[in-house]
Amino acid sequence: MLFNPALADFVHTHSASLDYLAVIPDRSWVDHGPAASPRFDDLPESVRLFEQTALRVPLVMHSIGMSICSADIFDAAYVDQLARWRGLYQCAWASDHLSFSRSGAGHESNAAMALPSPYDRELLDLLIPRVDAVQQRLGCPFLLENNVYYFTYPDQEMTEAEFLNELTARTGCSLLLDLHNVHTNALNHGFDPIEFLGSLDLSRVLEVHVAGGSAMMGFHTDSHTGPAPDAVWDLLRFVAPRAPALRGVTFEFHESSWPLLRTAGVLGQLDRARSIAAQPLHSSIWP
Amino acid sequence: MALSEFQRALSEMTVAPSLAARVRAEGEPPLAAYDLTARERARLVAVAQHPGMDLNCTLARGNRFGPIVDVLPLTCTLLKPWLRELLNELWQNKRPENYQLSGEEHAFVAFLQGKLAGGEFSHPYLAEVLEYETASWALVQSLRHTAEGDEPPPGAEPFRVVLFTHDPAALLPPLEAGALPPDGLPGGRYPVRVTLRGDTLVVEHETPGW
Ligand SMILES: [Fe+2]
Repeated sequence: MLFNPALADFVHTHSASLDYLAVIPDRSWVDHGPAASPRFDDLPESVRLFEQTALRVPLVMHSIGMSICSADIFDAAYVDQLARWRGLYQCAWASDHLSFSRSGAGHESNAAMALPSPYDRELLDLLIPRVDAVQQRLGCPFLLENNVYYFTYPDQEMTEAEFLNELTARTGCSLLLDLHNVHTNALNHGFDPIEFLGSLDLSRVLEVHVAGGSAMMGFHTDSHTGPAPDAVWDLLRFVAPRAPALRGVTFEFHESSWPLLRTAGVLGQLDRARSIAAQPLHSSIWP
Repeated sequence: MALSEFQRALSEMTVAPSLAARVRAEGEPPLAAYDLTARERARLVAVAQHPGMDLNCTLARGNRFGPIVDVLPLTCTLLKPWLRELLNELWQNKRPENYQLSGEEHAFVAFLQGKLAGGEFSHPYLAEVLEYETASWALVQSLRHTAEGDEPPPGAEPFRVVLFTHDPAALLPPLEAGALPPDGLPGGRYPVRVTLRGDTLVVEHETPGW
């Protein structure tokens, strides 16, 4: 499960139901920006919660600020901050997104959302040394998450699957395969999600995301609303037996969906993930 | 580096829908300020023409609005009829500056305060509702930065006093229910004390029954 603020009590009461907890570390600090010193201010309230939780449940990190595809920004100090967190809580692995939101080194601007960059050789050449550096600095498996995208670029040099396969093969990094993102892209752009998954090197998948979405402006969106739909569980059924390195299935939902799910709903999603992944994941979370 | 210019242009099209609209209507000329290859220009034009770009712009606006409505839910309800235009005006030249989208709420507060001070926007209840929410927010922020064991003892909790000029007992409950308050509430002096006790905001007022 990915932690959100609506889950503070749940995590306290139901930690025994969790094999691990994914947390967004960026929600526990204020980042005053690359030029500030000190740059990061931890928020004691969130730190307290994670300290207490980490005593009972293994934590994994799912960060949102690396913007690893930004052409003109590679934020080593941000990676250092992640490494500090990883050390504090002994996170089994760390992940971020294969996208950019930050641009304009010096005077930074933000797109207010994660944007995909075209799957070209140029991007691959940019990413390979960065991923190597991140893996080395973090000292734990590093995963990149496949994008949700609402438009496509013409003339990309590689397909998404080719790009992911080559990136993971050449860097040794793992894949955080978000199945709701695959489902969303397949619905919006009219392709067969199973065919897409069949062209991916699933041996690189270490974690899977499952989530729900909603309709908006004629699209299916990745809004993390409510439970994951049946179609996403079908994709998990395809992936799980073909992904020998899979160590966790994470249910994500937006805190505004808590009234829709509540304790029973969340536990139901975790049970469903476990029953499809076929084996108790607890034993496999640690290498 | 061309890729960085491409990303800067796409980012600008996402947070400034007017650029996306111009590229959709006019093609490449509005992108002249960016140092792009022919392929990158063609891609940005294709993206601008894709209906998914409209959705992207809407989602980015929603993300920017998140921190604002978290801090100022009552102000946003009060401003509902004008909110879209006010945000358009604020965001026309103001870009998000960091991935945490911190500062969006500060910018909106400063923008509204400037509008009120300059007389460019007037609303009989806005100043006091805005002051009430910014005071409450400042107290909650102090809690977020308090280390365990550093909590103030009873009687020494942080507080703010906000002077309402309309009865908060008539003004705040409708806003808290997501509705507009009645027009024409009578004026007066209603000092309200907002205190942070533990992790709860306690609101006390001199008016009996509130
Ligand atoms: Fe995800």
